[in-house]
Amino acid sequence: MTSAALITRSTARVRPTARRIVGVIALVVLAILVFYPQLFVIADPTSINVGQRFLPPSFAHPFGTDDAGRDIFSRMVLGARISIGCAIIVVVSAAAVGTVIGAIGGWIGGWFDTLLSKVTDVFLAFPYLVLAMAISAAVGRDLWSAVLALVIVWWPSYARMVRTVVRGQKGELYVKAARTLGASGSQILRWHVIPQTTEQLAVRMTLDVGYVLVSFTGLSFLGLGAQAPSPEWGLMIASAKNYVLNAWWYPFFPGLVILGVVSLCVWLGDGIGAVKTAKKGKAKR
Amino acid sequence: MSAPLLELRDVHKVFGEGDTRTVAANGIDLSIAPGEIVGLVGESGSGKSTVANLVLGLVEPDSGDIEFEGRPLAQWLGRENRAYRAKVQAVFQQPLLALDQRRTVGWSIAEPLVVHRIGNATSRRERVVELLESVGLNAELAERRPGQLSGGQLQRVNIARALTLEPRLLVCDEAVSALDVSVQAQVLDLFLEVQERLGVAMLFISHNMAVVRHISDSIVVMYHGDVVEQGQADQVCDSPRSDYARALIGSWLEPRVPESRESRDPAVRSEASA
Repeated sequence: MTSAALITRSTARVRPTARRIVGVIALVVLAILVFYPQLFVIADPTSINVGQRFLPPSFAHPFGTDDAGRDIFSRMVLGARISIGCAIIVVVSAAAVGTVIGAIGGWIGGWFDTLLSKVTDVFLAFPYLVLAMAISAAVGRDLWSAVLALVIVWWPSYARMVRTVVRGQKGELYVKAARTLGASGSQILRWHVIPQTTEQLAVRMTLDVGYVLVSFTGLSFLGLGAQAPSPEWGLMIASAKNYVLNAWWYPFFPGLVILGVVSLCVWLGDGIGAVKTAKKGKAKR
Repeated sequence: MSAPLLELRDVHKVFGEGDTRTVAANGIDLSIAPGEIVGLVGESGSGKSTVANLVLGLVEPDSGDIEFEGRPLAQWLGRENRAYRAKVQAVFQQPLLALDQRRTVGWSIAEPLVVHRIGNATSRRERVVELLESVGLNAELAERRPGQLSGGQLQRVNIARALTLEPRLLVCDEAVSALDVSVQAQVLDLFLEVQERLGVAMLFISHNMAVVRHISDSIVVMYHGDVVEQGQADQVCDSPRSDYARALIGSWLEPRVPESRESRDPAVRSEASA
């Protein structure tokens, strides 16, 4: 009905604590970085200038310059779109694939569900980064092969989560009631059962953006993801590894920013989880 | 009496095997005429709910015939599932759990219309208001979530939802058992009023003989999957032939339920919506 009214009502209950304000500001800054990097670029990140090599951090170059004399800060700003963007693409795709497969498996049960469980068990038992490396190397060692590889290793955990919820909800009375109304299996799943996973999905996806970012930059670092001259963060660290001793800022700032973004994701994920739990507790009373 | 709306003939259903083998229906014969309220009474485990699930097509019988409007249930559930669902609706025991608590009450009441592709957003909203008022609830409740309503209000919502498609048969499985005794009487009266207004037939299942007597035209008594007694409500209650029926009647707790259909108090409607 009036969803607008309900949204205002539910957000009104979330009080703006310092933590939430910082979280929202950080998200907005990241979003601007990803969508409007040109606002932050202070020097042409592609201009190679050997005379400007390995300049330490200064007012003109906050993160210093690299081995080709390029401004590291500007390159990182441009790289945000690639690294964070790809992490988000991976998480959204993995969640979508996992939700559909997990929901169908949990709903219909039988051999399909058994097969699904075995497949997810195999995926989850195998070290995911090793598997992602193998897939990425086999598919083509570029940005999209890394994205594809990570989606392939990441969807099973979503499938398992959604399957568990669907199996638990299947016997609930509201499902039986919806069935007697004439609702089809897909309608019941889409309207009633899958929405039960929203909170868990939101928390999981937020956390996973951080974890996928680490894996994605890791793949690039190993040469299996983004390729030079891309300003992808993992690739920057890879190209910096030979200069650690004479230009500490070169690997340091990309590493620091990755750490910061991952921490932010974990922090936000926990925050969302806490808000949802609090709300659920309130709704029960 | 006219041709039966629903007929069960020699229906058998067994769950489990070996030690866990339970005979839930051991040759059930039951018939409901259009507009008739049939009470199905028995203790828990007597197979009452299995009969409800059989009629709702949620459980398949091992043997026997179930016919609705003179046609076999299997035929309805196959090609004409939607049509059958529109004609047979259910009201369950736990009114809160029967609703999706994330959805507003209005959404849930309109859901059958969406499922059966009837009307548009405007006409559905009008129908929700009409239905809420017809079960004695304020139309403003449409915006609320189930968690914000009382048990009696919630069961009225479930009844409204079941009536959305104007069914011919309402299967009520312990529909008043979870409610307070005072609310029970009001909801029972709502069922009677609905029956009079819409001519809908009901299979009214309860473990409570007093409740069943109050609402039913005829009564079927079940015990361990068997029908032990069947007949007009007054006849079964006043001169039970089986020992079990006599025991059930003897165990009445005599809740404050009006004696007969005529002594209903229309004032409860306004009270319930407050």
